[in-house]
Amino acid sequence: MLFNSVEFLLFLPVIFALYWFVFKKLIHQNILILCASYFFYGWWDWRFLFLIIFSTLVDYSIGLLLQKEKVIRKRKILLWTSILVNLGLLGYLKYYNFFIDNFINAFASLGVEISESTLNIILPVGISFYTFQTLSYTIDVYRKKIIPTNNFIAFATFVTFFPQLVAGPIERATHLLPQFYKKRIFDYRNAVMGMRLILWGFFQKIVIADGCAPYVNDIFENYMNYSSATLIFGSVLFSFQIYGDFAGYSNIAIGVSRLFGFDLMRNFKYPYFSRDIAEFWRRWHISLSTWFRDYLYIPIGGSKGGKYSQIRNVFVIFIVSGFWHGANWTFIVWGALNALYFLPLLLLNKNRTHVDDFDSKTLFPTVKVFVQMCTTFILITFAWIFFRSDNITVAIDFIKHIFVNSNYLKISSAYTYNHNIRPLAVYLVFFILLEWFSRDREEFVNTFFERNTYFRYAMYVIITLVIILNIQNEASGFIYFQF
Amino acid sequence: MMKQFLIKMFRLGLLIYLILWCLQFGIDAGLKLNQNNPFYEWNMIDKGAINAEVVFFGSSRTYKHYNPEIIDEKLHVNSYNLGNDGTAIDIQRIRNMAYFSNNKVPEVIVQNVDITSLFPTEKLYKKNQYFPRYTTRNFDILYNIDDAIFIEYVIPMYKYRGYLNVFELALQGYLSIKTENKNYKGFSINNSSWDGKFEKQKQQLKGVLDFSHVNFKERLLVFDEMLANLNAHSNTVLLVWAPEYYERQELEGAVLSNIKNKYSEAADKYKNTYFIDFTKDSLCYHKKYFYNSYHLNGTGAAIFSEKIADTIAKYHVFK
Repeated sequence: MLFNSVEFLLFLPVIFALYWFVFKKLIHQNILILCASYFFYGWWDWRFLFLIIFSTLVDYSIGLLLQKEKVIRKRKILLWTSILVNLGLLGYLKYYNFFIDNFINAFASLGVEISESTLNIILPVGISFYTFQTLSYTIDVYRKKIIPTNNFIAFATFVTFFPQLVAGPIERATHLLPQFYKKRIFDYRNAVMGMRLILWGFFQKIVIADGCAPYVNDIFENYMNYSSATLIFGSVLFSFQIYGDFAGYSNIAIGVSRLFGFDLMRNFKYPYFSRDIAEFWRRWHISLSTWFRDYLYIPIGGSKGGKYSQIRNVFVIFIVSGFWHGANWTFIVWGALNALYFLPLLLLNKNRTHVDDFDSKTLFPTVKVFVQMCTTFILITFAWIFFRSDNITVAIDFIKHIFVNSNYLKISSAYTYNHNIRPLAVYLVFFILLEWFSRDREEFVNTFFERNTYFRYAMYVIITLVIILNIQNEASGFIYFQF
Repeated sequence: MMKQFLIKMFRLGLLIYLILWCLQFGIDAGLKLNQNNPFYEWNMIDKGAINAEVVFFGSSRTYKHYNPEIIDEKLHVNSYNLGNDGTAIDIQRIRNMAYFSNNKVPEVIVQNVDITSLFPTEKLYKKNQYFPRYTTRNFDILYNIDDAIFIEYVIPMYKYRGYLNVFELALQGYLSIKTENKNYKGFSINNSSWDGKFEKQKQQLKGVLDFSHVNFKERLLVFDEMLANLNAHSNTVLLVWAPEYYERQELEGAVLSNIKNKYSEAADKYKNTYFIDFTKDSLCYHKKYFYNSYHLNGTGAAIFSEKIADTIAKYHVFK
């Protein structure tokens, strides 16, 4: 079920009403959320519910066994069982064809022909997200950071919690699971904040991301016919599309959770105002970045050891992170490119220069900060070309055309020719300015909606109107669903 | 706290709903005053400002074929082309009825007929032309064609999604701003030469134009109802099958003559109603008169309009 669908608009109030007015006991509320989550997921394809249930059962059982088991070697076996089962399923469903294809190609390049045996595998929506979430539980139990739960309903609900099931934020058991043990009390302020986040999330998705999408699709599909300026324009729009799409989803997920009395972690923190790549990765898809930091980067040594191991670790984490997104070399190159961007900062020990929040005292950034932000944005946008392209050849060709079709002044594509881009430009400026003026806040909506009543209500009306005017005839999916 | 939250949500929802509804009302009203396409003809019809002696109804094959400038000059009457691009008889009926409710009865009605007009409309073409009139009774049929219209009716401003220029268009209406209107009394000229798509898509068209499996019985009943209505509102009704490129007619096969017979039989049932067939006219055999196999270009339309004027004069004596 998509957040931006009529079904969800009916689903949410029904579950909300049942949750607060009918099922008042904690256990009943948890069961309701579990059933709602299965329904939410099964709406897409009920067959894959068995996969989630299987994954839930495995990690729940291993968690309990880990608690009983004191022998380190056996504990390790249990941990690796969980890792292998979870990553095995993920690997098979997501990466099987990729490995087979590359294997065959590698042998073909040596002149050995191997008959192709790829499978027609449907990738279950959100598998990368819930797999990582359950893995975090088992690893944390193994590390004794969390006591394993014997409450199966709470654990199953933690794994499948519908607001964040298919595209995150990837929650840690240490943060989300305890929330299923405690009685939730309706909090007015929290619920209002949730509604604001939902409204803003829809603005990000429907107005910004879906508004950019047709331009981006046209430019990336027909890049060979367009000028350099148009290709650059398409890449910049994709930067906003993917941000609007993913941050929009995250905000809706956090907002919906708040309506039910849950607190999810923040996933984005004004990433495009980052002053360097290291800062960008502390502000972009925070739940995944921190997951990789805690469960991969630090275990393989992190920033400890010599420069060589530091560089190796950086490449490992970025490439794995890229590969997590999809079984395509484009994601691997995208990850490697980000590692390359990160390298100078690491070598010069400047990767933690910008850990502070943005300076909010001044209206505009200093020239130096502005240049830093622009440079980071350009680098990120360049990397997104790989992320967006269908394959490496297309990505390289796209980049080549930026330099070959060297008309840097005229932006013109079939879509820009047939459509007026001014409204989108206004929305983007509005979006950037609002983010800029909220840059020091934990939650953007706090600053924005907590002005005087008239201003706030005017903004509610304007944002609702703009969302309604930009709804697509067919609800468009979220980009991160495919990961 | 829950009560407070629900009250707040209800109040806010209601406020937003009312504001959007008022905004939509204002835009609808502005569009009803708009003097430019695609609203102009509908607005003229509603205002009762057409009042022509000869009116032409039908689809794009009316819109592109009947030139009132030529017909007016030849017959010394006031004629008006009310052809509606991309419509079949179900939608064409809405326009007929709207016209008869607000304008004086025409002396002659020319209803263009063909095969494709008999197919029920599956998708509303140029849907924005109907936006200001969703609540008008005649437009009920739109609800059967497009499922989204119900939601568009319930949620204010939703129907304008993707049409961000409606504010500008409504303002044009309020300020009576006319933009360049290339149409003349509803007629839209196309001066392009033969586009060559027919040759490229001939094989594909063969399948598309094979109507042998279609049961036209029900559709002809709808047409019959429409014809009765036309007949009740005019002295003379001409059912005209405008020229089609001859090779296209060959693809339509035997169904073409069957349907022609049905139209002819329908015309025979009414007094002063005639079926006029231009499918064997000399125009049909020259690509130079068409821009595609179904539509005449400016040159073809001019010659055809001369012929139509002569035909009208033959069947009707103006008061």
